[in-house]
Amino acid sequence: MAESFEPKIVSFLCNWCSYAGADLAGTSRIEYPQNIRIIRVPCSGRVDPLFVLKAFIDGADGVMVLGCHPGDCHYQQGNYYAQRRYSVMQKLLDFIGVESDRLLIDWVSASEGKRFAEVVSNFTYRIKEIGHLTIKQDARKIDTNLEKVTA
Amino acid sequence: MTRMDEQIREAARQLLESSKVSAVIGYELAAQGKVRPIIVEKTEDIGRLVWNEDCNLNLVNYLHQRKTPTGKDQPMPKTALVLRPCDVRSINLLITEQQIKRENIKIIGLQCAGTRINNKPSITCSFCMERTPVDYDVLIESDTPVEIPSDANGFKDIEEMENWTAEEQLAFWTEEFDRCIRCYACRQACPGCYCFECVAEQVDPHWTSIAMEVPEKMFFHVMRAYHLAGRCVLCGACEAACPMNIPLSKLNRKIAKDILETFGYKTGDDANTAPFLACFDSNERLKVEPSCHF
Amino acid sequence: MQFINYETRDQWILTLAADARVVAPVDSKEKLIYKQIKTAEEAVWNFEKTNLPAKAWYFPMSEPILFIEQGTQTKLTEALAPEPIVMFGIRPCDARSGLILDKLFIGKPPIDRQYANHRKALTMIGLSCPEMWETCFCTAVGGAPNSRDGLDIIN
Repeated sequence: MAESFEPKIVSFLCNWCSYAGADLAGTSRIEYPQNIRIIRVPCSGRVDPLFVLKAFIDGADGVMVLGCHPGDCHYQQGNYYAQRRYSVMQKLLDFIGVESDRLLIDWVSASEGKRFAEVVSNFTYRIKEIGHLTIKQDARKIDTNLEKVTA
Repeated sequence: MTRMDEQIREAARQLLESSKVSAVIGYELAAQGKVRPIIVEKTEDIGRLVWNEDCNLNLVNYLHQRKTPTGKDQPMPKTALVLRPCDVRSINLLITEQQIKRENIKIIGLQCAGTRINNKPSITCSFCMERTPVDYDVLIESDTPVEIPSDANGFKDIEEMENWTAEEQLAFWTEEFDRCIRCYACRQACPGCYCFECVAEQVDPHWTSIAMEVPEKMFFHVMRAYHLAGRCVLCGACEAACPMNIPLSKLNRKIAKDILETFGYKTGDDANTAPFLACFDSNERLKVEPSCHF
Repeated sequence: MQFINYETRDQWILTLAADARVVAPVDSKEKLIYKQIKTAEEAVWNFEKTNLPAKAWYFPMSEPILFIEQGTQTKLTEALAPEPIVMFGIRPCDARSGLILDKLFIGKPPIDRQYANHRKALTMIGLSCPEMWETCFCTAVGGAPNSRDGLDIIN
């Protein structure tokens, strides 16, 4: 069951640090699982927690928000705001059945290509362990009378 | 007429007759033994004011319709309100968010022993730890005793729910939100929800559809709870307004508990603290540690 | 007029539930809502009014009507007609309101095919009212506590 399950993971990477770190992992040919879908944002502070909520509700099994290390934000303070917001959102999500392990907030700098790959690998394995998140059911299951009709 | 009714009317009379306020927002009796809000502007209507345990809405909500449009430098008409301790925190919240000014408000503060929803004690009230408002211009003392036991835990039910498995939690909320009919009564009853265009109704960007399916309904409620993080005063008006008996305040109380434990912050303590999510401490290092460590 | 007793009714529901969706008022946190049941015990049979009408079962607020899969070929899958539904415990006023919607959607061509399918699949079994309650007004609009309009069987 866990072997055939390929989680869908959405990653929000900040342009100046974590996205550059991902780039570095790529140019250094470091391999990491391909389950992540990357969304580049200018800053982790731009990641509205509603993006994360919407990702989970629309079918993501895991979400990562990776920003610059505290103190190193390109926009000075963005990651501090992100930190506060996610400390609230992560616990709230945990309360409605989205385990806190499914949301990762971490700091990856532009020079940490290897670390980026490690963070992604560890997170992907963890999500494979936890399993599929079942908030969003396949729309087809809502009406059980469906048969395939060719277009 | 109870002693509290008398005192409220007396306070209202003094404020109206001396023109300190142009309106008093309180409650009056309605059909079928119920109560409803009333805005009293004439002294002959003062006799209609009452207060009892069924007064479970947050009257600060009505201040939004009295705010003058931005851009015009007119102060809001001076208003008095009959408020429970939780409601008074909404006043502080709105002052912090620069929606109202304290000098335009007169608070007729109540010592509250809890209000009811449909003749049962409301969940929010049964866990309330506050009996006297943090701010008031006139204090109306309660007829019933208002002692809180020293070992009372304002978040006991939340703590229990935190220990459930993820499947149990998801099943619980799926069942609750299945009943939601997207009437938005919760949003309309909340003094903290005053956006001109709610995220739930925006089509550009289209955050969430209005499909009557649990994922969409869950999005609305979790989103609304998050938008009230550090802003919700736990007045329970949303639960009182919900026609489908959904225990909405659990979400808000969960957030309030986390914020209180991690930051020591409680909404509406006074009118001078900065909004919670609009500030930070650069020495904070906050992460919920995942169970696998990198 | 035919009569059956409660045991027969309960057995009937069990048999029906094998082939069709049986819907009746169910207590959900003290609100009465029409939900699918498998046995008669799950439902509430003694009530004034439900909190939500029967309408959602033949005129849902949202439902899938078409699925589009894009890939090398675009695949379209249409939602088929719904499974038969038997609804118990419908008040005469609730049933009459369905007739008004019928006028709108299937009264004249072109008819709404989706709505027509829902209505065709639906059997409504009514529950006549022993008294007029505080907010009732069916007689003011041409109804009655024992009206059969819109109902297939009345109890």
